[in-house]
Amino acid sequence: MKKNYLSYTMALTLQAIENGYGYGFDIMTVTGLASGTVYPALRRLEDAEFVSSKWEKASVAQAELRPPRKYYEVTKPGRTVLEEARQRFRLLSQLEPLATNKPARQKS
Amino acid sequence: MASQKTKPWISLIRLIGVIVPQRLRADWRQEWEAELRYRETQLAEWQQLDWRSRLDLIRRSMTAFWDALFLAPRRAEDEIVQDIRFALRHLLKNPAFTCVAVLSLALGIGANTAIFSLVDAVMVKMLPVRDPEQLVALDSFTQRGEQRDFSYPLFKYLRDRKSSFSGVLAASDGTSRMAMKMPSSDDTEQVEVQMVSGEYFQVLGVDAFVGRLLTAEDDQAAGANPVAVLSYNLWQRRFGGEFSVIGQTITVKEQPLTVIGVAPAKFFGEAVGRAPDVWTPLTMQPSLQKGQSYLESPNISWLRIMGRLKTGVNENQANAEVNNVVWQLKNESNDLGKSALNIAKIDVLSGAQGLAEFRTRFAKPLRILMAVVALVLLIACANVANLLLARATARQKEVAVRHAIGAGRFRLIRQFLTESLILATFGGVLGLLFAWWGSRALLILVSGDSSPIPIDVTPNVRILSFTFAVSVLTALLFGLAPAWIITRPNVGSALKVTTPARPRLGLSRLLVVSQVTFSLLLLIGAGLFLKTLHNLRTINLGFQAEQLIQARISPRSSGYKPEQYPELNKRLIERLNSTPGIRSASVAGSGFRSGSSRTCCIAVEGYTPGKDEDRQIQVLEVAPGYFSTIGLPLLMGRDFTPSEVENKPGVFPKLAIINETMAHRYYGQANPVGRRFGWGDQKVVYDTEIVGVARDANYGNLREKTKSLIYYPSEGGTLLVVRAGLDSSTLVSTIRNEIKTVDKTLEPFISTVAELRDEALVQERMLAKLSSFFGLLALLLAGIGLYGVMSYDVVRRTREIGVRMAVGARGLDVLGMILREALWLVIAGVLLGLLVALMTMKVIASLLFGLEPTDPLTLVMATVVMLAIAAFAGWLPAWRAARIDPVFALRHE
Repeated sequence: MKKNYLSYTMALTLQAIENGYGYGFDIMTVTGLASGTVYPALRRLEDAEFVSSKWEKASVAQAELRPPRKYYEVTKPGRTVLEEARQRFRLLSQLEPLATNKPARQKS
Repeated sequence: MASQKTKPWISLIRLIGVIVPQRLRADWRQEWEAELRYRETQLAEWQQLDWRSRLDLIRRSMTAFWDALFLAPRRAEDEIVQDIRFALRHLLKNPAFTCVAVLSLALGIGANTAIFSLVDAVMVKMLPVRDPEQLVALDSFTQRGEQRDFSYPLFKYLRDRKSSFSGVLAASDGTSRMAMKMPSSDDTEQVEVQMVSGEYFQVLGVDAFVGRLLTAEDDQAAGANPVAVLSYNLWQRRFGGEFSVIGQTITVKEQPLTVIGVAPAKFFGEAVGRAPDVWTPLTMQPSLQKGQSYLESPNISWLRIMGRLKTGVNENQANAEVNNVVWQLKNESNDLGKSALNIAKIDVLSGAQGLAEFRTRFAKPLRILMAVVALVLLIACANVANLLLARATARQKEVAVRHAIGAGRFRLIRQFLTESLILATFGGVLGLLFAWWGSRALLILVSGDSSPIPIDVTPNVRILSFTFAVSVLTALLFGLAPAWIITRPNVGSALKVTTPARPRLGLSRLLVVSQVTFSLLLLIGAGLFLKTLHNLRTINLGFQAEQLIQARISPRSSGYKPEQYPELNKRLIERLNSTPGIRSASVAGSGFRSGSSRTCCIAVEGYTPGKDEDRQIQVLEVAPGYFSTIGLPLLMGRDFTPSEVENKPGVFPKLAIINETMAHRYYGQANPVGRRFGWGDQKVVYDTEIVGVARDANYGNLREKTKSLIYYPSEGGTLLVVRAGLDSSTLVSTIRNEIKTVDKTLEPFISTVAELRDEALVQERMLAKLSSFFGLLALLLAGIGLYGVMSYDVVRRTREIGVRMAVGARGLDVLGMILREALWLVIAGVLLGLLVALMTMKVIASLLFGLEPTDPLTLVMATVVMLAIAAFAGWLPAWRAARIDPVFALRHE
């Protein structure tokens, strides 16, 4: 059963992915949500097929001597429900789009 | 990467990953590890991997815990699906095993469900009326402690003083079978008629299905309201469910009744086990039972009373109130007050399940049957457990492999239990089907040859949950121990050898012993019940019951007056006596199982009764020739002669023949012929002379001792007795025709005494038949169990037997060895069974007749049967063992 009505957390997570933050940690950082919230939201979105996950290319990871990361993409139905959620949560549009590769919260 | 030192956050992720479902675990670990590592590399690049960042990383990996917790529940559902899929595949791969196991379980569970359906219908289910828990039944007890029905005046008295009750109803105790004529044809049918008070349906809270039901206005004056309510069943059966039936007139026993309505389908009255077809007002009693009116006399008890409690009133309050009302009544000096003096107390009991008589009658047999089927189920469980154990060997390798690749013992046990549960579920579903059919078959069995006792045994929520609970319990019972044993970790040895290590057979032996024990118990029970039935069937009635036919006529319905009866009877007897195939015929007031009348109070010349002595004596009017017709010998004196019959209704003739019991009671060893007795308390006239003493005859209370009985000469009875020459069964229709030629309006009710005797033994026959059936079933299951264990044992020991034979053992030695082992198990079971039987069979003592619960012959017979079956079941595998070819056996791995 697919739920078409998103909670704020799920909508925010979805918006973050839409904005280009494809990795769990980036989503956490950009939304300011705790991982205990982001990951369940991700799992639910994935179950509902609003996002799909892929592994990053092994060659990239191997170059950096670490395992490949999993990144998430918004699917077509995901986009539709996100559009609907934006009507309800005006704040969503204010989420900053991906500009730099730098983590948002860094010590200067 | 391998050279890298494992970071604390990485170990944390690995640790937390344990609670993630296995199929997701690798993915999950990698995702988190990759994220953390990536972050770490990034921070390192930026030269920011200081202690704060490290702490942050650890904090982040800790939050993975929440993610893992979120995913954890998927683990169970995941594995359960896996378990079920695996179990189904496994069971399908072994169809023979699955079939045998499911079938044994289905038999066991089905038997339990069928008997439970009866228990539920008879003892648990509430009446299908509004708020049944508010209903109470009133039971009146006499000073002597006997339960007694209520009279009509007493009912009216109680009804009009009901403060605890919102309503009180009365209904005739039981139904009467009457001929009903259809509205516009001459078709007649025997229907069960119950007379009920006008308030009956309102108090029970039943609404009409069609038309209207009786109201208090329908029950005001005697004979004033010839109306009838039909049962739904009769309406469907005879009237095709036509709504036009309302307002039509049916004729019941010559009395036209207008149909005013139809009761709802589920409604069967106030007592379980009865199903009236027609309800009429109590005030129609004099019209329907022509002759005596039961409405005026406070001494005629024929009603059962129920009441509906007012809200907030409990049974105890109602009890106190009712008894108080009766106590006040006793002080009144009218007839009703005097009759009330005999009431010791009235009990107000819950009536939610209807009146209790049927319940009390079948409570004990049902409880015993419940125990019997529980034992059968236990035996079936033992069988399935044994099958599972036998397969343990075959699966030892599988278990070892799964164990080796990481399955925990708990996980394995769960897998095996899933299999058991699936087996039990199949068994339960099939059992429910068996029960569906079985409970109906049971009802027919219980009811004898007449139409089935009307009890609703359709499966309901209670029955379904019972079956479910039994199935689950069964699965645990037969599955747990084998699962425990199979999964005992012995990986090394099991993986190495192709022939599995010899598992201990302790449990399966124990199971066989207990099977034998239980089967023997059931066999003994069955034997006791069979012998009881036999004893009661062959009980000496005192007269020759075979080839004896009784024909009840009701001349009153054909317009005869009592003073005309003797003349009619003379013609009938003459006619019957001249019919080929009939040796002799006579007439009496009543006969075998057709009721009796008692009269008070006898006064015997020269005998002083004790203070509280019961002076009621049973009396029976018989025509001359009665004794020779039924084959009851006169021990002393002579029969009545035709000239001695006075035929004045209501006047006792001055001659009597007494039975043996009465002769012993009043005259001891002396000869009573020529002695006299009379009736009454004061100024007794000893005017009746005893002319003979007849042997004691049992007129239907098979288990009871014969009571004193006086025979009077009279030809005015309504029960013809006929002694058939050869085959009594073919004569029934002949007798009907002969009676019809004398008067075609007579509707005789004819049956042989043998049939009537069988009818009286319904309960005994049910117990005997069912306990034998289940006993044999248990025997079969135990036999299969023993056979299974022994054959498995032989297969397992093929090599050993081969060695024995190679070094000189002959086939006979091997046969003897295996057989001896089987017999040891059986003997252990038999001894245990006998011990348990000696201790427990007391509980059925009250249902037995003519033998002790520890009847030695029955014990011996049951033991012999058990041993014979066991020997056979053990002989087959032993014989196979004896034919083992040593060469082949030694190669056998």
